[in-house]
Amino acid sequence: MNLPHRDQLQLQRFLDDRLGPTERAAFAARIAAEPSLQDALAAERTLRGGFRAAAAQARAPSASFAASVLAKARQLPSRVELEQADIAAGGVGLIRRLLLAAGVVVGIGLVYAAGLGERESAHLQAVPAADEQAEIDRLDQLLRSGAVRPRADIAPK
Amino acid sequence: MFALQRPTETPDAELIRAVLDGSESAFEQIVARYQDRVFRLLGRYCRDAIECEDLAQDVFLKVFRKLHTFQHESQFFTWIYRIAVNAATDHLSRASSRRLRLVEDDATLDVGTRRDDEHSPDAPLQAAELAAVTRQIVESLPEKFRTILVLREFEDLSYTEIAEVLQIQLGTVESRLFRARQRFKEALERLHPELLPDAGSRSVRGGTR
Repeated sequence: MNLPHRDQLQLQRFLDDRLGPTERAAFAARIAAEPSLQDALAAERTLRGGFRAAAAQARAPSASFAASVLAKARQLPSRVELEQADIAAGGVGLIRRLLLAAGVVVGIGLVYAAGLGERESAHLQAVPAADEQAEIDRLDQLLRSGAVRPRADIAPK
Repeated sequence: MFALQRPTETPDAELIRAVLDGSESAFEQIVARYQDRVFRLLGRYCRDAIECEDLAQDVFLKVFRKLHTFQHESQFFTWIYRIAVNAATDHLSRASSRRLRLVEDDATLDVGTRRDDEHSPDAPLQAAELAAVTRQIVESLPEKFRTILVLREFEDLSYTEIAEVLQIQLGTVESRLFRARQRFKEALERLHPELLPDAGSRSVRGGTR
């Protein structure tokens, strides 16, 4: 079917009685004038006929169904116990969620402390030390190569 | 739309209160009132009557257990339907390895006459074939499309009722229903194009319902 998406949606609204009176009248007028909408309407009616035919076939409960449900219901805990169990289940659920949230927070803290924090402080401390050593090595090399001479006033005697 | 309860019947709210006060007969009335609808719905997800009965029993026991949580914010039957739909979809996912399908066992089906057949195909044979094909295609759709089609097309629920059952917005009902029908139509065109009308057979009439 090559009907534009908007028209298909409008057709669904038309058939499902989801249009206001004015919109409905306008769309009905369009259907009367446009063969493509008429074809789409015919196809939709066929589909809905299929649904109706399929819907007519349904299961029904056995004669003893209600009695068997009641028999099972009698075996359940009392109403008060059921409500208390519900409250308890709700409390357990809440505690479980709180524990989970606490676990996540602690986990994040541990990861930060063990990994991120350490790396960050190591980085902050390592950089000046490395720079310092590199500068000493560079000056030693310059002295050894004779490219520079120590100042007379500070040179070792 | 079905009449949900006759005027002489005890209102749902009264029955609920009575069940919460310990009345067994009130619960029996709730089961009697809704068992047909629950069965019809669950029957779309079960292979046979026994499976359907077991599932329906679970649904009503859950209704009994959770009745104190019903807030009266939605209609009672949509609350029951929500429990039934959840039970059915859980059941389908649990049994997916066994390839549970929508009703195929025609021998155990009751053929009812719940709607008039004003717009159904003229030939009974074609109508039966279309019904069988419809069930097969609905069965093959993803669960959320299948469920919304079951609720709208088989159970005749309004958009508002579907929104209550599935706890989704009205706009979502419309768009999901639209996509479900598109998927259905594509499958029908692909598998059984002969069941669709010829482009020439046109008629102009209003909405179907």
